[in-house]
Amino acid sequence: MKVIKVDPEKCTQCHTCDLWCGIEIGSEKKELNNAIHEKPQPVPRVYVEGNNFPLHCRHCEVAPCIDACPNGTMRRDPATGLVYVYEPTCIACWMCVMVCPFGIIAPSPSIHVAVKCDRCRNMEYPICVDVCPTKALALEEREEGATWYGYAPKRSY
Amino acid sequence: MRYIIIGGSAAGISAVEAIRSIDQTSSIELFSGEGTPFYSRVLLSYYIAGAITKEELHFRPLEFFADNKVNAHLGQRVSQVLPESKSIRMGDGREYPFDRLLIASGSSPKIMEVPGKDKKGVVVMRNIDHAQEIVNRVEEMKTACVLGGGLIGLRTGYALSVRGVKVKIIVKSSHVLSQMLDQESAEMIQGTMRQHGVDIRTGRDAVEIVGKESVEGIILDDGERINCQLVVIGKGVQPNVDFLSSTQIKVNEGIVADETMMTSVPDIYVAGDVAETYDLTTGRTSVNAIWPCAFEQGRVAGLNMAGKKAKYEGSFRMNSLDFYGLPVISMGITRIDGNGFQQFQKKTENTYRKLVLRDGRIVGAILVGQVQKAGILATLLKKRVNVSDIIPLLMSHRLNFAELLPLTQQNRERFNEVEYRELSQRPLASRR
Repeated sequence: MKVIKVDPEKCTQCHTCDLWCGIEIGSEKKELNNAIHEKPQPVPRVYVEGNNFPLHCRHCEVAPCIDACPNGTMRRDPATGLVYVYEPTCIACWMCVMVCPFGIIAPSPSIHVAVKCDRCRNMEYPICVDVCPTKALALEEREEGATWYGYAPKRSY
Repeated sequence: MRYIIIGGSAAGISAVEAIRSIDQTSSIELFSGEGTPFYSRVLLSYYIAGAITKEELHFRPLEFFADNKVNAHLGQRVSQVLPESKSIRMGDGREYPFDRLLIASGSSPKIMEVPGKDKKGVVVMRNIDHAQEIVNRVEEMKTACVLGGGLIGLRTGYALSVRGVKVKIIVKSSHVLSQMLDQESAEMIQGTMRQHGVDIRTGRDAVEIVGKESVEGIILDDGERINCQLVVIGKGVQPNVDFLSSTQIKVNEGIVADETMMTSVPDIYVAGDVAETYDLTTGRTSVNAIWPCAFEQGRVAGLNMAGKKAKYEGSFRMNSLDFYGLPVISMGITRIDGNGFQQFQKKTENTYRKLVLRDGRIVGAILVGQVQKAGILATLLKKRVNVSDIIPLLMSHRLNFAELLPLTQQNRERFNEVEYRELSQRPLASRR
């Protein structure tokens, strides 16, 4: 499966990634001048952390958020391996937030659903990787042989 | 190979998935005392509140058993496990043989010894029938009393309050959720609930439930009488182990599991609310009856049953709740008793953050108001790394994973999953 990798040395903390994520993924209007006036305010799914580290959902091979979700709202796309929130059934219990090792699931107080990066699974290419002006982000194949509990889960993707 | 699974909730279903990821052909017989499969216990209070329908309680599709070639015996309770003959016996004497058995029989509500507890309108909250009984009565209800300030009782009270019922919560301790919160954080929740009209009486206990056939009210230990049409008893749960009484399977509070989730008897495994596992925060074994633990234990048990070596690192207690938009997450040891602990607290008007450490490692935390980074703390707890050098970062709302990357690299053997490793690697395109 393909994941987003980060080169902090190339990141200049320009926040182009989260700005575009907020517009393209978070907003209704998909256009900056209109998006900034939307209520609730659109939120990005990528966080520029520390000084220069844009962090996304890592789409864990054995995802704690899927385990913790009590009604199957947190799902994995069997074709791509990407983990996503099926918003219609999210009941805002924040069990996924409680277990996410990276702290990238946002408990949205305004729309009462868990909000997180789905690596733009319905688009051809992730918007953040596309817009990064210094190429600090790259889409790459994940290495094989990932293990949890000393066991490598079988992949269909 | 013949597998038998006792229990059809989180742990049992998770084990089925783990077994089927390795072994697609062997027979799996699953027995559940409940007639309704795949409903999420955790969500019953949301059903009472009217936030979700009965169908939306499902955490797996109804075709799950067929798709996974599981022969399900629903509404059928196992009355005995016979380790010597490697079989189980049903109430009517039928026996089923197994090569590997999983006990995931869950837990039941503790009964409270109070006069009048058998009257109509006194309910516990554990399964879908209990929830349905409450829903059926909600229209005719003016006031409901919840006895006990635990999470199940509180969630039920919150749900009834959302439905417009007047709710009174009677708590013996000095504050609600005494298992998971300290005084400061509990008072924030109590404040919010009281603002929304929920009456919380701390340091009080009910001594009698009064009424003719049906509940008409309760009497408190200070003599006060509260009129109500429903009494919810929420005094915690206990593991369902009675059907093991005549076996060699070791039971303390729950069925004792080793690190492969096997019981003291070979080929018999255990997972979920009935399992007693190594607790990462206390260093002792205990029953941590929560959904995420049940799922993980079920998977580890299932993998081992199917012949894959998998190791269960241990459990710890954690929970998340959100009443009236105030999110709260609690994990591990949150109130210290004894020496050797360090604690850090930070409170603002709407947020609270507490960290409990022992030997430089996180053993507990509470987050109120701002909870997004709770999982980072849970992971550091689970990985048992020394965090004494980064307390200011952990206590700050600025807490983020990127700044913890050096720590994960110093403890590479504990952060060896691919998701952590790849964050320390540059993309191929940028390597020269």
